[in-house]
Amino acid sequence: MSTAGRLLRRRDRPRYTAKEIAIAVALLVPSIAVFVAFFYRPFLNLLYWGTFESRANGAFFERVGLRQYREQLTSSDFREGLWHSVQFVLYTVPAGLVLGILLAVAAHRRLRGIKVFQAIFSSTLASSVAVTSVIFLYLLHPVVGVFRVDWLTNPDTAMFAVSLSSIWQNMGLSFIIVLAGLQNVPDEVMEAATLDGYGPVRRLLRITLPLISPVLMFLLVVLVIFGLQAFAQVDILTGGGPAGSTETLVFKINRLVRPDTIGIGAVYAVGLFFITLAVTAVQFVILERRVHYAR
Amino acid sequence: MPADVAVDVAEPTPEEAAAGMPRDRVLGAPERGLTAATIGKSSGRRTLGLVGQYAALVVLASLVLIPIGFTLIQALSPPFPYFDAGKPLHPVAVDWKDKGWLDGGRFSVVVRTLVVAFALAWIQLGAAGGRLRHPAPLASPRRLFAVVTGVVAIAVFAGQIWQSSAERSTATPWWWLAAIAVLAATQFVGFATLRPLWKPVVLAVLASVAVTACTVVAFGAAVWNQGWDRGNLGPALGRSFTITLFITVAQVVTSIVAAYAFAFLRFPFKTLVFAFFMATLLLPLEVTLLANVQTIRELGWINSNAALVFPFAATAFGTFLIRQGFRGVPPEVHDATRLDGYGHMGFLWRFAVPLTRPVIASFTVIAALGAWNQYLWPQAVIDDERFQTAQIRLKTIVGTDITNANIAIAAALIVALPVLLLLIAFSRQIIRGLTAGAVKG
Amino acid sequence: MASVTFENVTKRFDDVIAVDALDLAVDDGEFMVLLGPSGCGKTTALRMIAGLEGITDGKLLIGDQVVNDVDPARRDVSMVFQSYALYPHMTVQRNIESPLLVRRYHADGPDKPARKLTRTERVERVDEAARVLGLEGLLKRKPAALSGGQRQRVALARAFVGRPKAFLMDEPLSNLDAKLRAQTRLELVDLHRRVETTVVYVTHDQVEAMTMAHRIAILSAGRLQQVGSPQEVYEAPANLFVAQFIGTPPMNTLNGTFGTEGGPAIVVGGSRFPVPADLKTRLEEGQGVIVGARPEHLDVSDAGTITHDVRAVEWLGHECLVFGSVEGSPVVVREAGMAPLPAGGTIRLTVDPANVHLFDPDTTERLA
Repeated sequence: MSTAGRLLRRRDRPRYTAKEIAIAVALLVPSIAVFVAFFYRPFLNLLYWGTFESRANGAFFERVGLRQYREQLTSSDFREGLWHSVQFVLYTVPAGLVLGILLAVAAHRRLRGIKVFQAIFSSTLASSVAVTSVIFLYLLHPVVGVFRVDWLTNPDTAMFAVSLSSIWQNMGLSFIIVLAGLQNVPDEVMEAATLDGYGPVRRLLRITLPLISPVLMFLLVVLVIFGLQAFAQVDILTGGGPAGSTETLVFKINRLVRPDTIGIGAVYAVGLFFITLAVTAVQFVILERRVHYAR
Repeated sequence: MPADVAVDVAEPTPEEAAAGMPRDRVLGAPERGLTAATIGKSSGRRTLGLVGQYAALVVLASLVLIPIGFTLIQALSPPFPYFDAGKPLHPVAVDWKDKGWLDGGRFSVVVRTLVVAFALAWIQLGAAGGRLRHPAPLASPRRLFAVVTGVVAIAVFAGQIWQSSAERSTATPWWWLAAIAVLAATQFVGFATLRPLWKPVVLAVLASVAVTACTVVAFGAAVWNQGWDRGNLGPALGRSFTITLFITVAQVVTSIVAAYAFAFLRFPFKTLVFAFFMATLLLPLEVTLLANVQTIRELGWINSNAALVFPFAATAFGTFLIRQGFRGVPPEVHDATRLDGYGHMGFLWRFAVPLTRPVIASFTVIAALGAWNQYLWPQAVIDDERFQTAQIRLKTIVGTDITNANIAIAAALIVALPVLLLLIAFSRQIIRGLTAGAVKG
Repeated sequence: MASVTFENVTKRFDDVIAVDALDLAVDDGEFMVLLGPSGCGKTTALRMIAGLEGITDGKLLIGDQVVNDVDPARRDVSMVFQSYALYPHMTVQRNIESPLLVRRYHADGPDKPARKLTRTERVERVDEAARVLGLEGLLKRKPAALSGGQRQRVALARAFVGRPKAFLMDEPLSNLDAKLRAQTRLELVDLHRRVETTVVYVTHDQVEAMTMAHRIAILSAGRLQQVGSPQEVYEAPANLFVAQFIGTPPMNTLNGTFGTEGGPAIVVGGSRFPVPADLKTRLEEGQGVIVGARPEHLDVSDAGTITHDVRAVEWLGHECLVFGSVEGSPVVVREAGMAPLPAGGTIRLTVDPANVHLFDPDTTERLA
């Protein structure tokens, strides 16, 4: 290697100055403080508290160790909560993906007034979970609702009814994300497919979907995480009932925030953490291989 | 360079960024999307194809709009079940609170006049091809005339509609028609330069219907006031607004300075610290809820603003987003500022931030949205009704008085309004922020 | 293989006319280049042949068939896009095979009905295409793993495999570096000689047009300016636009008047340009004209009648370019070798009357 090359390499190695480090520290400390105080420390606390059983007045902590983890994570209550969350995910995620694709494919055209439709499709973003829940409560309420059905009061259909509100709400987000993916597919590739004789359905399945698969995967992960974290919908629409059939994991955790159940709650929270982590990791590993990046 | 770093010129749209090489396209050609579906077929099949596409769009749009439609009807109806077996849908029976434009107190009159004027001005500006940032096309006498006469027309006719509606007079539909016709005429004056000639007519009618309906309903119906009063929304909205402001400012500032450190400063263990930041994304509030609530209890912050703001004062998502933006700043710019004698802070506030304004704007709007819509955390740390934020106030309203559907819904719609306005005003920024992780480059 | 004919074809996008009453006949087996600056409508015209843009007015024929309303996939043409438009998620082999999977072909003969190809036929055609374009070893790769030149050849193979009536090419060389571009030009001409299919080729680069085309159709602002062989458009440009578009450096043009004093000549201030023989008697005294002469046709001569104020000289080895002005109008002269000409001085130029072009100052059309 030439002398010039060697000299250049030497100059490129970062040399830290005390001043720069001090500034960096000053700039990072606020964020770090928040993260330590409200993310890391609490998590470590949770791991620790999970090993304690507590009494009604909250003052008495009895160390029971990892036994509590084993007990609670295998309890029927936890498994029920997990199952309800999974149910919620199963109802909302496929619907979210399909609707997102339908809406985006329908609206990604050069038609007169298409912008109006695009605005309508993305409008559900404007609704918060609480507002959406109120809307659907008064749509589905058995007594004062528009459609006086018993979906919310029937333990078999309650979870589905709760999911409906989220399916509706997610339409805006799904639409926007899939549309962005579609806009990144070069027009010329679609035109080449047209020239090759691919009809609209074939084009969608063979060309469009593979090319937007990274975006679809992103949406999948987002929707699954939203699904596992469902709380406000349940709180407003059913309050956990009927007969606890809509109590998702987060709902149960929220209820366990009382001082006398905080040990159990901590176990559930840690369980939720690892489940979410595992699901996300599995998604990445399995689907990463099948994702085709358009380039 | 990422497509969302502006360097003094309009940032490339996603379409332009994706189009790559300049195409031999004549200016004025329609925007991107699929037309091949209808090209090259006989005109009969082509029409069928077009009809089919529009039909699909309408069906999908109704999926979105039907819940909203029913909700609005419920808000304006008396709180009784109105879907009786065998009977058609009740006509909407609205309770009106004013009889004329000038009723309702000075503040109310001023606000409604300004809102209507602004809406008409926005419509006229949009039709003239201008944007809010460049309101020059609005200055023409034709458009100003349209706006002014439009406001007068609304003021006169809205009052008539309210009055006639309140008296359950049969003349009400005629007043509606008159209002729409007169308003359309005034707006047509402003649109009259557009060609072909059906365009200004259609636009005027559409705008008139929309503005008339919204104005009459929004400013005359009593249910909004009732919802506000019965739900005691004032303090709740105020609190939501306050904490949203604080959270947004805090997140933007901490994210900017942290991103600056990662993008422009050299310090040891940078990768480790960055991983430390990003790992927090794995610890959502749902997981750390219990421990954080306990912390708040120990600090005695239950029911305080501090509890609502501090846990969200920093975010790794914002740091990541803005760091990406900063990395798009050309290093030559940085070098030039060092030669010019700017220190780190000078470079940050005078160059780095302005050059990445689109990204920062996106993040700001998303942060504000997130803060306003929060539910789980406020619900966990607030147990006194007086200190509730708007979102959890809704739960209380629904819980206490469930049969008064219209009141509860009105309250919900009021709480949703700021977000809707934000969405309309900053839709581009929001979209960019949401898709930042999805689409690469 | 078929001809492509535009009969008074117009394309309008809302208020903008992209192609204006285009009348153009591309012969069977011809290599026709559509040449023009950005926005002149050449790509739109090409896309109309493919069926990717609708036709507002007029008739488009492929062979004898009017194809205005025919499905793009049924027109039996194939297209090479500027960005190649390869399917990123498919292998090279699948990319090349793609047109054969759904479309129907007259595999049994032009009179027999069109049908889907059998697997054997598909494999055979793909192998042939890969062979012709030198892609044998790359069939299993994905486009992302190919170089620009290789991707372009895959695009060509994909176009080739359907044995279309016409190849449509949209600036296929513009994404290649200069050296590869020159090489691919030769390969394309070669390919065309072998395959003998009609080619309609769009470019803004006149070098590509001049070297590859049988005939060039020059467009500007949607209108056809001239159509002819490279030699024709070079030697006899139909108007000022064509004259200044073809040739590097472009033709020099000056405003002058026809005078008969001291013999017929175009007078530009103190300089005199000779008049082409067939126009000597057709011009009126004092008539204003635009006179054009290509840099390579202007010669330095002591007996020249054109006075040229030299501003700068660029010596390129095999030739030199002399930049300066005649009566204030910029004029470039091209001389062979490294002529020792003074920068800042004055030289005299002469030109063969056959190489002088005259244009009407109002219509900018060639005077003939």
